[in-house]
Amino acid sequence: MSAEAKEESKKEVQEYYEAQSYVRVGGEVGGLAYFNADHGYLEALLRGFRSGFLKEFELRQLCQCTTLEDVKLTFGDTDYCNVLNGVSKLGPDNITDLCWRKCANEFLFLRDQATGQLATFMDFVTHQYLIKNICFLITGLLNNSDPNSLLERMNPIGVFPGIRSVLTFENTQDGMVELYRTVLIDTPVAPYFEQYFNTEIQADEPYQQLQDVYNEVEIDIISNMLQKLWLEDFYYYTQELGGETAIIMKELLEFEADRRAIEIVINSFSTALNDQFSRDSERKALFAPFGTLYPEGIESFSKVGDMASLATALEPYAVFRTLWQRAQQDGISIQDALYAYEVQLNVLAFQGQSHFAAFYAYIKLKEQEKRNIWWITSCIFQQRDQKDFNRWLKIF
Amino acid sequence: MMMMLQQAMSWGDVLMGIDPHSYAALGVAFAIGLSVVGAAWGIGLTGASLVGAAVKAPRIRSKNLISIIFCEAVAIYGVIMAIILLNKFNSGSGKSATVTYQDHFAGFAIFASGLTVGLSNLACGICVGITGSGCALADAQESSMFVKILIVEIFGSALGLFGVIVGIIQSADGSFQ
Repeated sequence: MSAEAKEESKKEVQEYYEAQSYVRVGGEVGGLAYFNADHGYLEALLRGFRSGFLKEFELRQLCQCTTLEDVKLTFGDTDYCNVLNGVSKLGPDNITDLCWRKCANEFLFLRDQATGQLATFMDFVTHQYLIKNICFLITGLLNNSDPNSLLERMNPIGVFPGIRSVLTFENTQDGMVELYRTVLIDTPVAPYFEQYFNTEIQADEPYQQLQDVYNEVEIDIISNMLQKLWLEDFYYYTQELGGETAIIMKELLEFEADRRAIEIVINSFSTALNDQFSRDSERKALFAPFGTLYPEGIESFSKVGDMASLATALEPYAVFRTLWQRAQQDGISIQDALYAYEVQLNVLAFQGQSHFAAFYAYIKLKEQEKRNIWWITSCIFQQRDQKDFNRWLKIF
Repeated sequence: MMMMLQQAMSWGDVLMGIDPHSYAALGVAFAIGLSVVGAAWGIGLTGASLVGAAVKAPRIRSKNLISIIFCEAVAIYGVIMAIILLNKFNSGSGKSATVTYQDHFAGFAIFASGLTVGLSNLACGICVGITGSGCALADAQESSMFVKILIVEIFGSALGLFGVIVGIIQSADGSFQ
C-alpha cells in the first residue's frame, strides 16, 4: 500500500471512531445492586474530586489576601496548588481560566473512562459548552477578533475534533446555512441547529430569515434558542434513564429551565424582545416547555415589561417569591439569589449514591466556584473594600 | 402376563420418583454456587468504589479491605456447608439396592439445607457489598464514618451466619444408608 492510501485509510478509521462516539445509549440505569459494576469507579473518583472544592475557611482566607501573589500562596494548601506554577503575569481572568482548565481536565478524564449511559449523559453536559463555544467563535468573527486568540479562549470542555473549521464562517447571505451544511452537521449538536432552522422557515418565504446577515444580538438569541433545545433534549433523556437519576435530574433541570426563563426576561427589558408584539412570539420561543413556571407562569410573562410586573408574575410560586423577598432584603440581585438556590439544590444531588446526577451537579458547582474565584480575584485586583467581597457563595 | 391397573400419576409421584441422591447433589451445588455468586457480586460492588475512592484518599486502602473480607466470609460459609453436606452425601450412598425412607429424608434434608445456605449467602453478599461501597466513599470524605458504617456491615454479615446455622440444623439428621 502506498503512503497516501495508508493515510487515507487511517483517516477513515479515525472518522469512523469519531462518529461512534456520538452514539446515544438509552434504557434504564441500574439501582444499588447493579450500578457499581459499570460506573462505580467513576462515581468514587467524582466523590474524590468533590473533596477538592474550596471550603468556606479557604475562601475567607482568599478574601484576606491583598495581592494576587498572596492568592497564589493561599492556593498552595488547596487542590489548586500546582495550577499557578510558572505563570508570570497574574490577573483575574488568567487565574480563573487556569483553575477552570484544571476542572475541565478532570471532567474530560472522567468522560474518557465512561461507558454506556454515563458516556451519553456526560456528552450531554459537554454539548451545552459546545453550543456556547460555537456561538462564541461566531461572535468573535463578527467582531473581527484574532482567530487564534479565539481558539485559546474557548471553553475546553465543549471542543470537538473539527472545531477549527467553524472559523470558516462568513457573515454573508446563507452564511449560517453554509456553516451548518459543511461543519456543524458533523457535530453532536447538529439536531439542535436543524430544529432551529426548521422553526425559522416561514411558510411563504423559505430561508428568508436565514439569509440575513447577523449581528451580535441575534447570535445571542440563537445561542439561547439552541440551549433551550439542548435542555429539552437532556430533560427527556434523563427521564428515560429512570430511577434515582431521573428524580434528581428532574428537579435540577426544572430549576435550570425556570432560572433561564427569569434571566431571559430580565435581560430582555432594554431590548427589542420586550415589545408587545415580540413578547408572545420571539421571547416566548426562548422558554423551555417544562419546569415549575410552565405553562401558567410562562403565559403570565407576556404581560411582564419591567421588574415590578415580573415580581407580580412570580407571586404564585413559593420558591421564587421567597427568593425575590430575600433578594430585596439582603440587597443582592435576583440572579445572585437564584445562583444561591441553585448551589443548594446541586449540593443535595451528592447526597445519594448510584446515580448520574452527581456528575451534572459537579460541573454546576465548579461553575459557581469559578464565579467565586473570579469575583474575589477581581476585587483584590481592583483593591475594593472588604464589604464588596461578599458576593461569593459557600459551596460545601 | 399380569395386567397392571394404571393409576393416575400425581405430582407427589413425580417428586418422590426422583432419586434422593440427585436432590442431595443439587443441594451441594446450591450451597457453594449461590454463596460464591453472592460473594463475587459483593466484592465487585465494593471493590469498584474502593479503588476509585482510594485515588484521592489513599489512607482508606487498608482499612476498607475489611469490607472485602466480610464478603469473602460469605463464600467461606458456602464452602464449609458444601463440605459438610458432601460428607453426608458420600456416606453409604449406593450400598443398598432399594430407596428407603431414610434415603428420601436425607435427600430432601441436604437439598433444603443447601438451598437455605445458598440463598441467604447470596442476599448477604449483595448487602455487604452495597454497604461496603458506601463505607469506602464515606471514609474517603470523613475518617470517623468508617467505624459507624462498619457496624451496619456487621449486622449485614450476620445474615449469612443465620443461614449457616439453620442449614446445619436442617441437615444434621440426614444420612444415606
